[in-house]
Parts: sequence; C-alpha cells; structure tokens
Amino acid sequence: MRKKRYLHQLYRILGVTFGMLVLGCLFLLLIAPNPDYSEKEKRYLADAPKLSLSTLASGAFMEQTEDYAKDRFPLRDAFVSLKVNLDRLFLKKESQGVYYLKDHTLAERFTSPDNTAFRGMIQAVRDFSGRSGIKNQYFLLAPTAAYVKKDLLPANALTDDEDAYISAIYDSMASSVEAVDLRPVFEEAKEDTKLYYASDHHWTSEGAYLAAKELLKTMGIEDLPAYESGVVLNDFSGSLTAKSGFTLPVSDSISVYKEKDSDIVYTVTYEKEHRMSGTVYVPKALYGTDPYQVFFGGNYPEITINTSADTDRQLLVLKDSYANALLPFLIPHFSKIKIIDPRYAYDDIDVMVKEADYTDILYLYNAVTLSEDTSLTLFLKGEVPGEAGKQGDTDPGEDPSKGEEYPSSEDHSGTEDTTVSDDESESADTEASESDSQTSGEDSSGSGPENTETPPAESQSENTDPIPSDSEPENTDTSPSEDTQESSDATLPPETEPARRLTLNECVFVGDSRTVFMGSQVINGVAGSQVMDDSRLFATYGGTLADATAQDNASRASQVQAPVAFFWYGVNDVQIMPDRDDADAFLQRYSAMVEAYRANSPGSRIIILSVANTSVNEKDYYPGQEENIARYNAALSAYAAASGFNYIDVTPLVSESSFLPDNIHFTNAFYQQLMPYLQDQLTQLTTP
Amino acid sequence: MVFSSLTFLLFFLPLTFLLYFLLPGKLKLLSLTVMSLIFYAWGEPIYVLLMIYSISLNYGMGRLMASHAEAKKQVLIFTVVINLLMLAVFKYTGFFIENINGFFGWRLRVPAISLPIGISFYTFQALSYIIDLYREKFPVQKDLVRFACYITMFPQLIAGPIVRYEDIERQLARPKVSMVNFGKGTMRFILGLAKKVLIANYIGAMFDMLHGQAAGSVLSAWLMTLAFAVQIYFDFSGYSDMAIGLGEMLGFEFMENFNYPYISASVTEFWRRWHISLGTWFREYVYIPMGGNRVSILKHIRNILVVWLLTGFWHGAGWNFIFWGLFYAVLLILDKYVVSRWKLPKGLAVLATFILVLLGWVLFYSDTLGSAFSVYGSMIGIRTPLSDQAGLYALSTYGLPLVLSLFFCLPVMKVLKGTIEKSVPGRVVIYIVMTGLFILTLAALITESYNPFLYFRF
Repeated sequence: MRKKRYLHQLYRILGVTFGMLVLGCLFLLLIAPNPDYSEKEKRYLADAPKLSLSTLASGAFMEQTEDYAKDRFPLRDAFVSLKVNLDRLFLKKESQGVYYLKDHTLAERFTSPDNTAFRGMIQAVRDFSGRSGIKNQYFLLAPTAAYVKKDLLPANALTDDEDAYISAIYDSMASSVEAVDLRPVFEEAKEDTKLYYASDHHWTSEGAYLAAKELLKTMGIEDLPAYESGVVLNDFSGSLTAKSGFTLPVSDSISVYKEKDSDIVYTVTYEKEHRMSGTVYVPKALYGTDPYQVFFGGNYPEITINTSADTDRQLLVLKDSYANALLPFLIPHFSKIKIIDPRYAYDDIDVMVKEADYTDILYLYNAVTLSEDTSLTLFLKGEVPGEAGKQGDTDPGEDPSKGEEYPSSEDHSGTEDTTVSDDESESADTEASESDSQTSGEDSSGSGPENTETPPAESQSENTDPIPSDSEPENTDTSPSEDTQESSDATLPPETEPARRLTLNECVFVGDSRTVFMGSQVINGVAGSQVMDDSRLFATYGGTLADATAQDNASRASQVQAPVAFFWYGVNDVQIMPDRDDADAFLQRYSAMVEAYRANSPGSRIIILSVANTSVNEKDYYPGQEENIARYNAALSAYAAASGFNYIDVTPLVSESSFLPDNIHFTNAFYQQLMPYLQDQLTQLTTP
Repeated sequence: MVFSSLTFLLFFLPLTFLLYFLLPGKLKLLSLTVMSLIFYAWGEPIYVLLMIYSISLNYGMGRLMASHAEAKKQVLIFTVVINLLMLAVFKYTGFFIENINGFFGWRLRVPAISLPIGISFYTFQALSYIIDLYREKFPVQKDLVRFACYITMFPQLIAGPIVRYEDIERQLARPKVSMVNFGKGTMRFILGLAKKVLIANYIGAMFDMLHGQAAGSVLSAWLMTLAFAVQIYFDFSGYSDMAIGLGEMLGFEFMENFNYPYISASVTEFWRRWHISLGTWFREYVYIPMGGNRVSILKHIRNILVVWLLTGFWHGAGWNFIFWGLFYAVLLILDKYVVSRWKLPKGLAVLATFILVLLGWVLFYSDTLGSAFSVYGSMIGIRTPLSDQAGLYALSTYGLPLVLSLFFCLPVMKVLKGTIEKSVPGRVVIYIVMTGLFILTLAALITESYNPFLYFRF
C-alpha cells in the first residue's frame, strides 16, 4: 500500500472532527435541557429508556433507546428542516401525504374511501333524512385544495379523484338532500381569491365566506348583510407544514369577518362543557398550537347558538372542522343553530330532533375528512363508537316480517360499483357489512319512492328493502333451500332438533375479522377464505366487544333464528382495549353480547370459540397477550359451562404457519382445516 | 444494532473506542470482543448464545485438530458438518419443510425459527478458519480472546465482508492503531454511512412505491428495477464501506468487497467486482477443491453450476434466489465458452452486462417466479403501456436523485478525489464535504422519527 503522507494530516483532522462531533452531540443529548414537547409536531417526545430484565429481553429497551436519541437529539427541528428541504432540492414534492404545489403552497392528498364505508354513509344519511321529518335538508361537501388547485399539483401526482367522489355523493343523495355544489364557484374564484391556506388543510375565511353565500342562496336566503374582514393573525403555520415538515417561503394569515352594522346578538352554549360565550371567536387560540381554533375554540360534541334574528328557521348542523369558519355567516339568518360533531357527540340524534323544531338540516364536510370518516354513519344510525348497546329507534325484535327478507335478499353477484370505487379492489360486498343499514332501512320504507330511485349501482343496498320490486335477489345460499326456509321463517318453533346432521351453513357466526375472513370479503388487500357464505357471518373487521357493532352483530344474527350460533371474539379486545388485563370486564361484555343474541333467539345452541393467539412475531408488541388470552379463555369456558353453552378450543389447530404475513389473520389453508374441525365438533355435540 | 442508527453513533461508538484506545495491549481485544458481543446481543438478545456456542465449538475443534493431528480429517468433517447444520437449521428449515409439504402434500408443521442476524457471515468465517487450519496455513489460535474477536468483531459481523482468518491472523496480534488510521477509517465510514442513509434509503423509497403498484408499464418496470439495482448496491457497498472504515479505525485492514461492479464489461467481471469476499470464499473452499477450471469442460460446467446455485441459495431461503444463482451460472458458462470469443466494443459490453444484471435483480426481488416473469413481460411491453401515472410520477419525483446515483456508480468520484487531494485547497474541500455528509446523514436519521401528531385532521 502506497503511503500518501500528504493525506495524513487530512485524516487526522477529519478523525478529530468526527470524534468531537459525536462526543458533542452525546454530551448535549445527555446534559443540555431538551424540550419534552415538540411545537412543530404537536406531540410529546420520547422519554429516557427504562432498563429492566423484561425490556432487555423483549428488545423494548433497545427501541426506546433509539427513539430517545432520535427525539431528543440537540437541534432536532433544525436537522429535520435541513433534511426535508434538501429533499425538495432533489425535487421531492411529497411528504407524508402532503403535496408541495407549484405556487409554494401545500395540499393534502385525497384518497377515495372504502366502498362499503361509502355506501354505508349514503344509506345512513338517506335514512336519517327520511325519518327526521325535516323539510329543508342541505349537503355541502367542500372540495379541498387538492382538487381546486389540481393544475398546481406536482406532475403525475398520485391522488384520487375528488371530483368524482363529490359527484358520487351528491348524486347518491339527490333524493334526500339538496346539494350545495361549490365546485363551479371555487373554480371561478380561485384565480383572484385565496381560498385555502398555504400551510393548513382548511379553507380561509374568504373561502368560507364564498361558500356561505352559495349555501345561503341555495337555502333561499337572498338578503345578506355586509361584511368587513380583518386580519387577526400573521405568521400562521398550520397543519400541513407540521405534518409534512416542509417550510414555505410565505406564511399564512388568518382573517375574521364581521358584520358591518349588526344588530343581532347571540349566545354560544357549549352543551357538554356547561359553559356559555357571547361570541364564536376564541382569540386565545390564536397563540396556541392550532390557531384555526379561533373559530369556536375547536370541535365540540354539541354547541347551540341562540340568536335574536327575527325568523322561525332553526338549523341543525352535522359537521367537521371546515364548518367552524363558515357557521358565523349563518348567524343572522336563523334563530337557533345546533351544531353537532358526530366524532364527539353521543346523544341520540333522533331524540334530539324530536325534542326541537328544526326547519333545516345542514351537512357540512370537506371531501378529505368525509372520505375517511365513519363517525357520521354510526352517529346517524344511533350507534356511537365506544358505547355498546345504543341502537337506533328500530328495535329488531318488533317486526316479525323482518326475519323474512333478511337471509334471502342478498345478491352476491359482484355487481359493478359506483365511480368512486374504480380504484378499489373490493368486490362482492357482503350483507354482513351492509346489514347495518337494515335496521334503519326499515323505517325509511315509509318514504318508499325515494328508495327506488337509485342509480343502478346502488341497487346492492336496495335489495334489503322490503318494498321495491326491483330487488329480485338470487339466493346464493349454499345450503339446500329448505334450510333457508327454516331460518327465514321467524314463526318456526325455536328448538327444532333436526333429525339429520346439522351443517355449518345452517349456523350463524358472530365475531371479529377472523370471522369476516371466513367469507368472501377483501379488506386491505387480504381476501377472505370463502369457506362460509357471507350471509351466515355477522362480524366486524377490527371489532371489539365494546363496539356497538358487537351487540349489533349479535342482534342481527339472532334474526336468523339459526339452530346454532358460534361466537368468536377476543383478539382485538386483548390487543387494543385499555382494560385488556381485566378478564372479568371482557367476560361481562362477552356475556352481554350473547344475551343480546339470546333475547331474540332463545332456542339457539350457543357455541363459544376460544380466543386464538397471534403470531409469535407480535409477541414484542403486545406484552402479556398470551397470559391475557389464557385468562379470557378460562373465563369463557367457565361461563359456557355454567350457562349450558358449549365451548370449543380452536388453539390446537393454530400454528405459526397458520398466519398470514400480517401476523394476525389466518391463511386459507387454516380455514380449510378449521371448518371441518368445527363441523366435526358440531356433529358430536348435536347428534344425540 | 445497526450502523445507521443514533444508538450506534452516539452511544456505542464513543464507548467502544474509548475503551479500545485507552486499554493496553491484550485488553484491547478483550474489550472489543465484549463490546462486539453487546453489539450483537442488542439486536439478538437470545441468539447471542448461539454465536457464543459457535465460537466455543470452532475454537475447541481447532485446538483438538492441532493436538490430535492424526484425526485431523475427522475433526474437520465433524466441525464443517456442525457449522453447516447450524446454518441449515436456522436459515433453511422453513424452506425445506414448505417444499416437502408442497412436493409430497404432507402437512408438517413449519417451526417458527427466526433467522439469527449475521449467521451466514460468521458461520462462513468460522468455516474458513477450520478449513485453512486443516490445510496448515497458520498455527492454531490458542488465545480464545483473539479467536472470539475474529468471529465477533462488530464491523463485519452483521453484513461482511467475509474475512478469512488467514488474512487477519497477524493483525490480531498487533492491530495498527494510530490517529492516521482512525481518520482514514472515519472517512471511509462516513462515506459508507452516506451511501446507505442518503442514497440507498432514499432510492429504496422509490422502489417501494413502484413495487407497491404492480408493474403497470414499460417505464415503471425498468424504473423499479433500476431503483432496486441502485438501492442494493449503495446499501450493501455502503455497509461494506462502513465495515472497512470501522476496521481501519480499529487498526485492522479488511479486503475490499465492492469495486464499481456496474462498469463491468462481462458477467465474469461483475462477479469479481460484486461482493468480492463471498466470491473469494466460494472459490477458495468450493470451486477450487472441486477442481475449478482445471478439469474437463463438462466438470467445469458442473463446478460453476454448483458454486452458483450455492451462492444464490446463500443469499436467501427461497426459490427465487436459487434461480438467480442459476441465472448467473448459465450466463457465466456462456461467457466463458461463447461470449469471450467475441470482440465486443467496450461500451456495448458494459451496457449489455448492466442489462443482464438488471434482469437478474428482477429475480432477486420477486417473491415468486411468476411475479418475476410478469415484470419481464412489462419490461418488453407485453400487455402493458409504455408508461403509466405511477411511473411518470416516480420519474418526476425521483428522477434526478436516480440519475445522480447512477452517476456515482461510476468511479468518477474516486478519480476526482485522487486528483484534488493532491493540493491543500483540495483537501480542505474534501474535509468540508465529508463533514457536511456526516451532518446530512445525522439529519436523515433524525428525520426518520418525524411523526407529527395528527389531531389537525379535524
């Protein structure tokens, strides 16, 4: 090796520099005070790692160490900024789902919603609108910057079609609500008006004002007061800069509109927080983490604005945060405005409507939020996430004819879906997920004509409606037809002990995603094993016993009046419930669900399946899971024994090779082993 | 633990070097061994015991061979078998059982054995020791610490280069520790770190994005494969650079592992420039013992096939890797007996070789033969358009970095550096560039944890 002496000094200096940099950073990391909270990211930063035998063995200590070093690194924000902006130098125009537009503003990427969620929401809105009995109903779905400024997006940016989504929503709901289409208005105004914030996903007050004028016009309100606007905050750096890490050359400012000569007075009541205010603005918020909260202080479950306006019109609003900037413009035109945020509200919407005199309903959302939202659907059906047992007005046990249309009215011949779902891979949606709309579907039967006027693609959900004659469904039930008759006839005496062998297809299954995947659904790219007909499955992907869906699944299953009901819940409970260590709490919820089933189908044999574990690869993420599952299963088997139910342990069938790469769900091969096993057990239990 | 982490840079390195430089003579290697074990245990708290077992076994067998020279052969066979068995069990069990199930239709349970990191590397190093000891290339290593240090040394433990014992034997007795070597190693280390974090990870994101959508066009298919070629080169060679640099900082000299493979003018040349230490190992311990090329043509072809099937299989427990090895076996045979007779212009030869290498990478990154062939189909436009949105987006977003990275695959920077380092301002520039690269790398590592709380969604 040739010795290049002249390089030696370079090497020495570089070596020293490196050593000093490393030691310096280490020193600063350990000694210098580092903030616990990141302003830019709006979250708490990682704490020092905890040293113990268990954290060492599980590898948690190692992870915590790295997280700690990353989060507490001196001058962290500066380093992040450096990296992100350097990326931009190399023409990277997207970060964390946020695009950097050609005019140096940011826009959030739009993703089309899941097809099932989309149809569920349409149905929920239509049903609620029908049964609310309120004359004037409006839907304002605001487009976002990703659509309005689409020619400024980076070339070939992969964002879904927001325009198609908005059209699909409006078209599907055309019979129930009046659409307020902002697209033409915004298209025209976008050159001269700053409609959206550069650094935040909300619209500006100017954009909101424009939208408000359009909305009021649709509402038939022509007489609008004069407004003046004033800037309340410069240097506004909003959600998108925080999310992406990009820094923008120009900062935003927030303006607020005030009526010029106003003689309207109003009060703002935050119902659940039990406080009142004389204004919709919360100036304190301008100096906080999210200045957009200057409007109303943020999102609350229920706000009532009572005004001195001389009118009988009272408005009910179901909304997301876009509404906050728009609602002030509605104050002069209604004597009362009730603002509900379905993400937080937990009262019964039908009761609320009954107890007041609303003349108008307004749905106010932006496309991005709505496409990801599930709370609106649940809220309108009277099901609130996290509150078990709340049903809509419909009581499943009441209508005897309900048993009839349920099992036979599925059409599983994977028809084409609406434009929105072009890029979704979902096909043949099952009744299991759509049947949520059933219970509320019953009531809307009163407004018959509405339900028949649907675009062809919607007919899928229409098949469950008893009235329209267009639903000539095929019975794709795989069991012999006589079974269908038996299970669909609610008047059949419950305990008919069949002389021949009972097959699984005559039973119902109530459970979580592991039950969902017995059918044909494809969720998140995972395809079901198709070992069972979807009509026998009453299951929720990601469901826990604390979800309202658990009781809902049980009660819908009970309508089938099947001779046997299998219950298979637990894997989500043991992972995500805060009280997962409490086997008693688990059992309580489990038994509540089973009781809800038995209330309507007392003659069914109940078979509880043990909670199966997940792959060992998950061991580190869920410490104590195995022990908890053991406790759950012990509790379940004791409960079954005490109540006269059956308990089948499926764990002998489960091995590491049973799992899909996601470590939780099972392979087709597993289901092909499980079902014969269950059939076998079933035969042993039911043949005398 | 991985080199490209803050834990390694801020916590592990200072402590390790402090101990290593401050402790005298023999204790240096002891501290290095202990820190290396901690380094390994950090990522594999249980499997570190396996490695300790491997060290003890091979050390013991080495001593046995030395003291019982008449049983040399038996000891060798025994040790080699145990080592290979260990590798087979921990790396290939799942593969074997799945294939048995598939072939016979049985339903044997596949035991869930996770792969111990680095087992392919340290097993091969141990094998090189025992085999060369048998060949009497060096005296037996009686010092357990020195032997353990050889196996566990953290720079090359996880990802090579595969250091043969005979190359390092004398260095273990007296590593060349000096400020100059420390600095030289630092430079190499920073270079490797930058290659991995700034280029490989970045272009890796491009590959992931395209791989996520099925190859929908000619453009996407080629871009995706180019991205992978860039990623794997900078990832692997970056890691090797870091290993060599760290070795230098400690006073050891490891062999080069990569030598600008993408400028090769033939497939044969490619394998003399890519993962050199592996090629050397197979040549030394499999190819040459089987006769190498000093046999009949038929046997020569057999030798190449065996070595390359093993090489492919070494890379991973999957049929796609075996086919990748087979792919190169065929190409190498053709090269030796057919192509080398042709006189191709250099430029054409380099381009053709590069394209063949890209086609090989398709096999490497595809999970199944089917998906590999669908990529091949897309590449020549069978039932796919010329370009699609994903491909165009990838081009506009990653095009510039991709082109730059391809540029860096050429030895231009090496030549440039060689020129400017001769002058003082040139050296200042190099200093600034290296320091800047290190800071950028830190920025990239920190940003990986950038995780804003998204309550703004509302």
